[in-house]
Amino acid sequence: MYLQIDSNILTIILIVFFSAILIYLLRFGLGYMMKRNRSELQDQPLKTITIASCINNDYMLEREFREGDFIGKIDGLCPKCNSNIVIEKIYVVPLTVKETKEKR
Amino acid sequence: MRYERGVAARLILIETLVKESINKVKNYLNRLGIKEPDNVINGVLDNYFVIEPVSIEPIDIIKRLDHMITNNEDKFKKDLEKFMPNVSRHTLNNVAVSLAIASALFIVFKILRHYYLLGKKYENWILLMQLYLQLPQLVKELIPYTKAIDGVFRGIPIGDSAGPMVAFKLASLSPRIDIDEDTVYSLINIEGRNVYIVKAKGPGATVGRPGKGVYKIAEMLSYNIARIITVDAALKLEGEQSGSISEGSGAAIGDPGPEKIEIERIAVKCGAPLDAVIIKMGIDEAIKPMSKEIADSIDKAYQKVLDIIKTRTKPGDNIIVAGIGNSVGVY
Repeated sequence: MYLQIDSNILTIILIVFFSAILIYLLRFGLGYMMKRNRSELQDQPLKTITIASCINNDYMLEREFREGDFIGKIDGLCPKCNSNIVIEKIYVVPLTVKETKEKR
Repeated sequence: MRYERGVAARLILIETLVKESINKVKNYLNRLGIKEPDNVINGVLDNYFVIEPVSIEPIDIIKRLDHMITNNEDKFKKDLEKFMPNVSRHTLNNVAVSLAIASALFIVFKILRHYYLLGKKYENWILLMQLYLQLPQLVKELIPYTKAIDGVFRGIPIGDSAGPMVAFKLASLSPRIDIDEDTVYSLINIEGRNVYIVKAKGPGATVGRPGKGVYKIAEMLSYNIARIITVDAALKLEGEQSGSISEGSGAAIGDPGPEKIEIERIAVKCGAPLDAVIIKMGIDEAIKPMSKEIADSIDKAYQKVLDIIKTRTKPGDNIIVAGIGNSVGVY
C-alpha cells in the first residue's frame, strides 16, 4: 500500500514535470517563429532628408522631406544673394534610437 | 512533412506582403478620391501580360517585341485614365508603377503557390525541398518591393533614379523638350560642345523611352553625333561597395531589348563611341528610396561624365547623354 502511493506520486510528479517542459517548448517555439516572421517583415525606421542649395552655390539647406518635394523644385529664395534655391538631393537615412523613441 | 510546413509558412508571409502592398495602393487611391479602388486594383492584378514574340523566325523580332510592350503599356495607362480622368500625368505614372509592383508581387506569389500545391499533389518532395531552400532568399528579395510603394507614392527618388539624377545635375533647370512619350531632352553647352541630355519625364515615376529619344535626336542632327554616353544604376556583386562608379563601353540600360538596341544601332550608324557609366547598388537598394550613400555617388558619376565630355570630344561636337532609370522625384 505504501509503495503503491509512492509510485502514484512519482507518476504525478513526472507528468507535471514533462507537461511543464512541453508547454515551455511549445511557447518558446511558437514565440520564436512569430518573432522571426515579425522581424522579417519589419524594417528599420527611416527619415527622408531634402537638400536644397542656391544656384550660385553660396547657401545650402538641409531639412526633413515635405510632401511635394522633388529634385529640381524651386524651394524659395537665397537669403544671401536672393537667387533661387533648388532641391538637389532627396535621400533616406536610418533614424537613430533616440529619434525613434521621440517619434513614438 | 517538414518541407511542406516550412514552405506553407513562408507562403503565408509572401501572401501578407501581397496584401500589404494592395492595401497601400488602395489607401493611396482613396486619398486621390477614386471611388472604387477595388475595381482598379482587381482589373490590374491579373491582367496585362505580354506574350513573347515568335523567336524561331528572328527577323524583326525586336520590332515585334517593341510593338507588344508599347501596346500593353498604352492599354494599361489608357485603362487607368478611364478610372482616374482628373489626375495629373505624374500622379497617373506613380499609380501605374505602384500597381505594377503590387501585380509583380501577386504573380510571384501565385507561381510559388502553384509549385507548392503541385509538390503536395504529386508528393514530389524534391520540388518541395527546392522551394523550402529557396524561399528564405526570395522572401528577403520581395520585402523591398512592398517598401518601394511608399517611396513611389511620396515621390522620393529610388536607387534606380540615379541615372536621371546625373542627367538633372548636367541639365539643371534648362528647358525640358518632349521627344517621345514620357521622355524629354535638354540642350546645354559644355565648353563649346552641344550636349543633348535625354531622360524620362519627371517628377512622376516613369522610365520613359530613352532609346527612342536618342534615335530621334540623332535623326534631328542628321546622325552627326560624336559620342553617346549612357548613365544607369547597375546591380553590384556581393562584396562590392554600394554607390561605387564604374565606366565601360556599350549601352547601360536594362530594358527587355527594344530601347537598348535603338541606342546601339544609332551609335553604329553615327560611328560614335558608346560609353557606359554605372552606379552600383544592390537589388533592394535599386527599388527602395535612395540612400545617402547612393545620393552622394551621383556627384562622382556626374564628374565622370564631365571628364568624358571634356577629354574625349572636341568643341563643336554633338554629344548625347542618356540618364537611364526611373525619374520618380526628379525633374
